[in-house]
Amino acid sequence: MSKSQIVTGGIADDAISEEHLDSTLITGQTAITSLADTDKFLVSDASDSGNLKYVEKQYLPSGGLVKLSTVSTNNSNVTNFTFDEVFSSTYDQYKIIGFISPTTNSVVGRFKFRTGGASGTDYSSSQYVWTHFGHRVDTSHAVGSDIGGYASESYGAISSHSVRETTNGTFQAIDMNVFDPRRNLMSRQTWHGTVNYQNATSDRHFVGTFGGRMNDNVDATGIKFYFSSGDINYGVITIFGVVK
Amino acid sequence: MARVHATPNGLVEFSTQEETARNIEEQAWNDASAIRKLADIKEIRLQKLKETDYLANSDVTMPSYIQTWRQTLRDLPQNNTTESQYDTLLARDADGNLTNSVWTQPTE
Repeated sequence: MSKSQIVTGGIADDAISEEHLDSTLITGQTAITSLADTDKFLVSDASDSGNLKYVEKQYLPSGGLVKLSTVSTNNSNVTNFTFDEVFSSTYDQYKIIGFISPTTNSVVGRFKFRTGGASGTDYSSSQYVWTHFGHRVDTSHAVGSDIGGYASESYGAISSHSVRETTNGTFQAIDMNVFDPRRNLMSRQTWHGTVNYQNATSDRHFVGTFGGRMNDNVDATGIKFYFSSGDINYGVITIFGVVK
Repeated sequence: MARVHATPNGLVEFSTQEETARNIEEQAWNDASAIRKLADIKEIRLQKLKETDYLANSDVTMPSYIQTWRQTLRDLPQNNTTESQYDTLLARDADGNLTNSVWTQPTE
């Protein structure tokens, strides 16, 4: 049977109903793995009697957080989790969640901002101002609190108390917010968050808050998480951008 | 074996400069080990002293053996000055309990 062309107006609008659609209509097409803002989706417009229209990807509703990057390790020693070129002008605020577990007992969790984009380097000038307040419970069920801090350090601290090593089945978990690392709005960065961990020397369990700011006008394009000594052998950290 | 950064794109070996910087960083941390242990001892000592502070109230009489024990606790830093002595004071059992008898409040 030869193919023929149906001329405009030669077929009724409702001539092809759902029961006549080829089931491979979608799956028979070429797949794509990312969407451009102007890619289009077919929709039935509820405000216009269900007539078919299209909507572009840029107009689809989305969440307030956009996952930017994840680093993880599972029983494999790495010295740090490094995220280069993760901060940009697209977002002013970032949420970072995850956990890391140390190979060495009695070390503390730290971070450093990175500068220079894709081939970033540590920002290690003594411009980090940070403090940590930890609520604790010890093995005798006694509770208390401890405070630590530093006003001109070469790194940011997640906690000021040491963390138990992996062999004790423990890790340091964080929920951290970073504000304006690229100086889109102001000329300084700031951060704060919560942390949860088991202290190494006292076996106390801590839940703490930590925060700080930079005393220098550094253009931070990335961030690195690590321990004061030794490696990370378990963990995952994910960075999200907060949609403006 | 060279240290590595874990990145979203896989593992990246440290450069020579990064290895040097990390060695210095770890050395500084290790060099301050005794200072951290002494701080831990002072923190535990403070907790132990607080537990018997109520015996110093004017309406009670602090037993002499408690007075002696509290003085022993206060003298810990001057009587223990090496890292190995700090380790002895901070020793714990498998359950995380301090094992050095100096931390145990005397009963008589």
